[in-house]
Amino acid sequence: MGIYRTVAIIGPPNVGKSTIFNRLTGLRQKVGNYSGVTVEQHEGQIKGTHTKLIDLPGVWSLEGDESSHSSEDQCVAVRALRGEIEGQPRPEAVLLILDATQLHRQMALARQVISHELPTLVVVNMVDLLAARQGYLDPLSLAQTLNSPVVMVSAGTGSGMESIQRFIGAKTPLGKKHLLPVMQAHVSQRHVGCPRSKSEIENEGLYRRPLPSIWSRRIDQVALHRIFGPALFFIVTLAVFQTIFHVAAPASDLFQNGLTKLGVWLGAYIHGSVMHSLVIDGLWAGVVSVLTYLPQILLLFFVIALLEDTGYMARAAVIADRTMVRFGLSGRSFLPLLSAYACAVPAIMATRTIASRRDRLTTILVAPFMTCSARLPLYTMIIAAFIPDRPVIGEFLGLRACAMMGLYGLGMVAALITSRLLHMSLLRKDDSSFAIELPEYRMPLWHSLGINLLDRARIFVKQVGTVILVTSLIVWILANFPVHHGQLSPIGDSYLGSVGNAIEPALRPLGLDRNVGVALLTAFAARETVVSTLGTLYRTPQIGVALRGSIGLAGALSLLVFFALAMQCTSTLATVRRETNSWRWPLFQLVYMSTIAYTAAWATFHLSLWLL
Amino acid sequence: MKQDTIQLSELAAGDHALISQMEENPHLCYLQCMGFCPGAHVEMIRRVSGGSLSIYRVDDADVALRQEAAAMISVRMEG
Repeated sequence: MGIYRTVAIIGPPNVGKSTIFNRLTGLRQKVGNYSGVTVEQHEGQIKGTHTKLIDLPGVWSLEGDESSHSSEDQCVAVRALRGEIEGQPRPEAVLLILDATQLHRQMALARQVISHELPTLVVVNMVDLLAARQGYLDPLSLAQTLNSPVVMVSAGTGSGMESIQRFIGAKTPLGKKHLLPVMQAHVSQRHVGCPRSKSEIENEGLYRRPLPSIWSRRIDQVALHRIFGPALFFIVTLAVFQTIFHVAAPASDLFQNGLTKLGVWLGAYIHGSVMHSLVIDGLWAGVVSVLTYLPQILLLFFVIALLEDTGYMARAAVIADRTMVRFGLSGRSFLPLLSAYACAVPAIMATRTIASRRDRLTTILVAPFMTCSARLPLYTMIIAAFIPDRPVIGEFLGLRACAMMGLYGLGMVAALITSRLLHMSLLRKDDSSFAIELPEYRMPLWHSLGINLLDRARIFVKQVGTVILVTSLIVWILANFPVHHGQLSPIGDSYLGSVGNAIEPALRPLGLDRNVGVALLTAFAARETVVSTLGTLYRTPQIGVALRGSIGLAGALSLLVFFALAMQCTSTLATVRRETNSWRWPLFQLVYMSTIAYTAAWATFHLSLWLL
Repeated sequence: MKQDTIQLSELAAGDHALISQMEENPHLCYLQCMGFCPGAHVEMIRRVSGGSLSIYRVDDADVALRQEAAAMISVRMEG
């Protein structure tokens, strides 16, 4: 049992807050969103207690007006400390995490937190680094200065963690519980506010800041060099890209094949054609489409967490900043957007590393324009069927490769133009990040990284997976019902077929027919199924030949443009809903992208008819 | 000594300066928490990202600031 029912954990970014949270709670964690905002809410149960630990967002300060940097994070932190968050009790105690190597910059936050008059334990982390670089801290004097108990820990090695557990009341190796004295019964408001001058703790002699990390500065001479910096950035980018395509994609395929075989095996035990189709073609296909993304998500998050934990991500953001700013994005948008070439779902989840709300929202909204791997089967099939295999630049570049590159380019241009438009309209007032702190390079903490990866997997399967399963089931019912004499309808005669008939008049101006319309509808469950659905509808494996007869070259080009620009992915919409904590943005995305896709496809069709 | 005061964004790589004044702006508290306080010593390390950002060393920490943010801080040259 713990002394406190709810304890909040707070501190600036990059101080090891998550590591301490993970060490205290292990896998007993729950991830959600604070209501009405995009800030993620982590809760956990402290090992050996019934105490709930709430991880508040990383903040540099609790002061400042609404428009300050990371204001959404600040607002959440302040409201949580005051007990103003709906459905969440006011914490009964606070763990304030500070970095021993940066203490001189964090005293203002310490005073601001303590001024909330909650029992506060000041946890000074990374004391091993402080000692290694000849720094010094007198914890007793610091406790007197802050009027709060102080413990010194190293979350990386786990040393000192038992002091935190004593404060919380969890059982320690000694098996005893202690109630630490709460000293800050009344805190002087004299020092609370933004720092106005140099740190007072150094002047008072209770703290000597450590020597700067020579390694960090040496590495930065290369990582931020005018020529070597962008070169290193290019190599890292290439490595991420290779990981997504050459490691994650085959892993996903393997996983998918395994799950499909398992489905076939399971199917042998299900009797009755309707039940078999429902379980295997409906539900199991949905499960497979959810789980297929998992290897990609885990690998991508592993790479991104590695870059973040080592400190290189901040340097990459600095290098990419100039290019991204031109289009209303920030340097931190680069890697998520790059990963959207594999799949928009992990890309959108990866935008968590972007501190600015505007930059994060913009990145989330434009990511689905990037050409994801699920679009490739249709691209490949149509290009092979309609574009002649003719050289453009000798043997190096053919017309088909040009067409494929054109489609990649189309998505990218649409993303950049949208980002500019958002910057000038809906997201104009929000402030972008304008300062990037360059943390010292560190070795990643594998234990914490592993727990974070498990967290991501759990969020994805639970929250996104549920939506995909429901969508798969709805599409299956529409594609197989009504039932005649105990037999399911062929897709052409199903409800989905009727919907196809209904939308056909809207597709004619794009040069598309009813079969293409039905296939596009099934894409909402899984984009990559479009080709196989077309095969079923045209009743031939020679889909290219069938399309040449039905929609012709102008229709095929129009279909490519529509497919490149339309928002046709329920998984993405569900992820955007989760990450933005609102239906407003996914609905905006659906309407905006569909309008753009329809208009561009219409223009392509008519231009092609006129030119070709 | 008024004429010695320049904007932080005007420093060249290797220049050292003391922060003399900070313009009132919504980011003031955040900048101050980063170490950009009046009286603090700051060193311009290098321009990066084609000059759109500069790295400053303040309080022994390196921070990349956009030019528009650096222009809100007045400094007095040292050395």
